[in-house]
Amino acid sequence: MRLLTRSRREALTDLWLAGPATLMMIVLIFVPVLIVAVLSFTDYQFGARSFRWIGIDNYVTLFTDPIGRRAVTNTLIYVAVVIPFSMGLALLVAIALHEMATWSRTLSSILRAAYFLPVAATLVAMALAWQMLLHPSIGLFNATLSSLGFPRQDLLSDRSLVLYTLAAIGIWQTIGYNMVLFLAGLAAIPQHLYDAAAVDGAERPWERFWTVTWPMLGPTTLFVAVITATQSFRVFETVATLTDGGPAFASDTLVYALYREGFVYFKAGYASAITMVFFAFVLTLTLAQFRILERRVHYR
Amino acid sequence: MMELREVTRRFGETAVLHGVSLAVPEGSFTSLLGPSGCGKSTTLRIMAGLDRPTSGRVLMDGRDVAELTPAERNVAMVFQSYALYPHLTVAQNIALPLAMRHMTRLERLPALDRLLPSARAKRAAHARRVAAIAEMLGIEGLLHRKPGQLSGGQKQRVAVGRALVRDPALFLLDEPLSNLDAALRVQMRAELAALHERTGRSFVYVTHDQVEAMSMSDRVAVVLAGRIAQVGAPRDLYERPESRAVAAFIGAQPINLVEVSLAPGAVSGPFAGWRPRGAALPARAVIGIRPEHLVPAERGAVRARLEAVEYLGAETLLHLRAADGAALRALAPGDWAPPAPGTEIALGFDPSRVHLFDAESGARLALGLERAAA
Repeated sequence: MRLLTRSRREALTDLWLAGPATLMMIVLIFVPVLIVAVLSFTDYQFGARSFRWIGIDNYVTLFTDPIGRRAVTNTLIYVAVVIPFSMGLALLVAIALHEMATWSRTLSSILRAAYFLPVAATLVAMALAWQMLLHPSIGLFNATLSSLGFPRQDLLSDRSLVLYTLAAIGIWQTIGYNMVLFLAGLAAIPQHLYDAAAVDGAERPWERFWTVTWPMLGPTTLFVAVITATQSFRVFETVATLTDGGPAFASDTLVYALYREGFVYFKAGYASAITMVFFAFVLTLTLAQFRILERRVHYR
Repeated sequence: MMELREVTRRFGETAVLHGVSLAVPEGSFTSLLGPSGCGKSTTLRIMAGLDRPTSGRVLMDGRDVAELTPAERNVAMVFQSYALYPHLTVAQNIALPLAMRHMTRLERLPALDRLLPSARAKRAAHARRVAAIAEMLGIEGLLHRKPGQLSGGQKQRVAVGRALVRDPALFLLDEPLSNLDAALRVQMRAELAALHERTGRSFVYVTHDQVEAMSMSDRVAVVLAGRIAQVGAPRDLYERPESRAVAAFIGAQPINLVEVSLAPGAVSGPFAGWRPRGAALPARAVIGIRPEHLVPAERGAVRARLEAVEYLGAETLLHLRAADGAALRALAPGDWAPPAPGTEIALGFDPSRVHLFDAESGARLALGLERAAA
């Protein structure tokens, strides 16, 4: 005689499998998020014994204070540059390497590894290499510029260029990862669809791309877009190692501001407000992408 | 008319086709029949222009089409997996070949096609053509669905519709029925045959199912190990197989193939009561007789012991063993009462149903059997 019915036992198994991870999620993510959300309405400082409720003052500061607004707009510009370029270039590279594999598997693999290297490497170490490369007097980049007759550029100290320099490094860093995702997507497209397209008259590469490749990559593209968006919103290492948000906050971003306010100035309340804004941005963007694209990529 | 001349195809070291020559007469329904891996699909892809021969020529109406793409050859193809575009509706799937063929790149742009008068006119003409095709195939109610919402049989019809829409010179069908269930397959068989009748175009139909090949086509090319083993009407293949391999491949029940030694006036083994008729006897030969032509007969000259009985309803399949150990299969009528296993029974056959093949090469011999005067 069994104590529990079969459905009960199965329910228990489900609980046992999902329970520990769910508990960890609640303790380590949901509760802290809740605490941060509460803190964002206070003027709490790390180590302080007390705090005052100040309502939405922290948020008002973030969106009215020039430095706070700078961080928000910088982050949005950075994301707006990195997402399309990283995805577009990654798709181009993936298609090229996919085609190349049909005539030289070795060359394709070597290039694939080369493109993936920035993903596998430590960005902090790579930032050093970038610093040398872009150095105004001894860097290879400026040596090339001046040998071609162009004026030298200090890409990391010029206020109008520094954000785009960081975005370029961000693109360089994410292409490899997106390329691998796109390659997997390309490998999953059935050959018979290309055959059908050839019989139907879609013969030029461009026509094949629009008839088969691009529609069939829909789910991959959605996934890549979400990953790239969340990654680029989180930009921190390059800012921290190369510019410290400077010059004059020209490359300040949300996460770097959050780090500065929270861990340098110990303004936990304000840092919490930045965190909530960051969280809201990522959540909105991800939800919007799913909302808009989900229906259009699965073809049901 | 599509013609292959001495076509070979190698993938690296592996030769898939060894000199295939085949002509598809105008308006014929030709099947390429063979086991999987025999090269029949490669042959079809070479006809389509999706694959190129390593050597040999591909001709359409006497013109070499080696450099032409599938669309330039104006061939249509139906794929085993249907190969419908999942992001397009049924109507868009069927209309795609028309759009690719008749509209400029500018007119095909998604937004512009509503603005340009020429694009609007073409779209409307295409929609009428699609509607006519859909009505013919009985899928007019599905035009706004996506392929993901269709059953296998419906997808099949859409794939056929896409092939039909631009009135191609040649239809190529690559195992189009193999993903359907048995009842639907029988129905689609009849529909494809009717379609062939109505369009009057040449069909080339690849299949491993001899029932499909025999029932639908007027010509069957048996492809075995990258070679065309025999081309002929279904009846010829069954009644006069040119080689031992073709004889073994064709037929619902596998043919009996018994190796015997021949001498003037004598045959060894189970056929000892018979003698060869004809000149130039080889020492050894293979006698082929289909189970349905070897039936229990009281005065039959072939004697064998009954080992097992399979009752199939309309007929009964008998597994027998001759005195020299040769296994034989015979078909008796369904109402025939089989004796107990182990009983020796006599079997008779019509000598005109016997095929003789060379034991070495497997080629058909111009020999027959006749009853020895006993």
